[in-house]
Amino acid sequence: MKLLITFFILPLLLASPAFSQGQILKVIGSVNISGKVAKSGDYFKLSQTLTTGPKSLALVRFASGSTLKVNENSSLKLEQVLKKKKVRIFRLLKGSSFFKKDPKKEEKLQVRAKNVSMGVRGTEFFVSFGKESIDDVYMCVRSGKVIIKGAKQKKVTLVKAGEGVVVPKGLVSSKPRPLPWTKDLNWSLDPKAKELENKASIEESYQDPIERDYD
Amino acid sequence: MTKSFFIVLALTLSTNIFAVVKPVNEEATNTSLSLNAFIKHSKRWTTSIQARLQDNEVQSKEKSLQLGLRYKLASNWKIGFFLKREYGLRHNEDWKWLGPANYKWIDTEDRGETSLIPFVQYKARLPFKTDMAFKFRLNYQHNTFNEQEDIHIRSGFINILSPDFTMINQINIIIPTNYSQRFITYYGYYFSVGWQINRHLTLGPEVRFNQKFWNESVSFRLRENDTYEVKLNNFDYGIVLNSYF
Repeated sequence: MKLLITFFILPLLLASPAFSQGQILKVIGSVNISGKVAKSGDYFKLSQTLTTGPKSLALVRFASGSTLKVNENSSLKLEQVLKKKKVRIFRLLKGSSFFKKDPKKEEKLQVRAKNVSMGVRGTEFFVSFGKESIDDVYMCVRSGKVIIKGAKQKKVTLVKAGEGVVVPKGLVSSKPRPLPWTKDLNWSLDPKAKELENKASIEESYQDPIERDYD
Repeated sequence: MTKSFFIVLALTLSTNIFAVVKPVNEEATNTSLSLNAFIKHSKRWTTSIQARLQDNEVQSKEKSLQLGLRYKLASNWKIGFFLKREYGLRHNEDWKWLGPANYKWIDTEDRGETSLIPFVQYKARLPFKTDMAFKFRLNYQHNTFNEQEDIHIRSGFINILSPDFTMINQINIIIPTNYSQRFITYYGYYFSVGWQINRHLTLGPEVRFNQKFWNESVSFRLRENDTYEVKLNNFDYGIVLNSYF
């Protein structure tokens, strides 16, 4: 039986599209996948882009246990799936998203946002483009660790739980800092939760020396 | 003859000893309180209300209220306009003749002056240190009280030390365009640290070292047919409370 599972059923499962696709657990407001209106139960497949409108969000879960929440006015593409290496690569095109990886699974999660790439070693993190400066990338980690690299960085920056960084214009990451306000973000990925929308803004929590007046 | 000579000499000496003709260089330590509110209305528009009280050791007490309208032109550029009402300023003409060979800086604590101030500002993060930004602001100030006009340059660095602390180092200079014989009449260095109490409030100490220059009082020149230049070295320390909405 074990032989049967190892040599026949498992490879079939891994080769099946189900490995690379996620299923929408919940939709609030207007959500579409590559231009088609999406509803709970639909699949988010390789090369597709999930887009949310104002006051909307989508909750997606993958077979590997990874879950993500795409916030309002956002676009996220499932860019690449490397089955052998068990790597899933997303590209945030607009807005912000929460990511949660099942720590028990071997799967590696990567997120790209313009020229910034993030590799997940931990479990929960949040990525967002700036609201004011849309070329800036913000990221903070709730648990585990994430490595981040801007376009002009030679070495990666390791961001630990409770820390956040900003990558102005996607070039060089700031120094990770312990940011208590990461708790203000709505990290809930439970489709049954009463409140799923994230109302806290990572950007507001940063003292942006460009935006803010100090006089 | 000898007696009258001594009387004249005594009178001359006494006049020279007790008369105040030219102002002298001075030094002062002053305390201040600055309250600033920045209200963001949209992605591009911000208004500001700024009040400042300064208790001066030498000069009259200063107070000011400034209303501002700021527009974000591009990610690094802002332009705007300030309307400022100030009390207690000292100008060249405030070195007043009070009697024969007797001059004094007049008290201007209750004298209100209004200035119109368009400005342009550039800010950019340092490429090698993204927590730090360079700032350059140029104000063109027109004082409606005496029609004096000058350029104010305020430039420096804003350093985000941690999510809760910001450090600001700036230099200020004032270049008169239609008064004074000096090219620069004010040099200042400004340092402050702001503690982020919550999302809306920062509080912290500020320290300023500055040098102000005066010369060319018309009444002095006409009466004494002489010139002078005098400076006041100030050390100001105080508290700054910024609020953001």
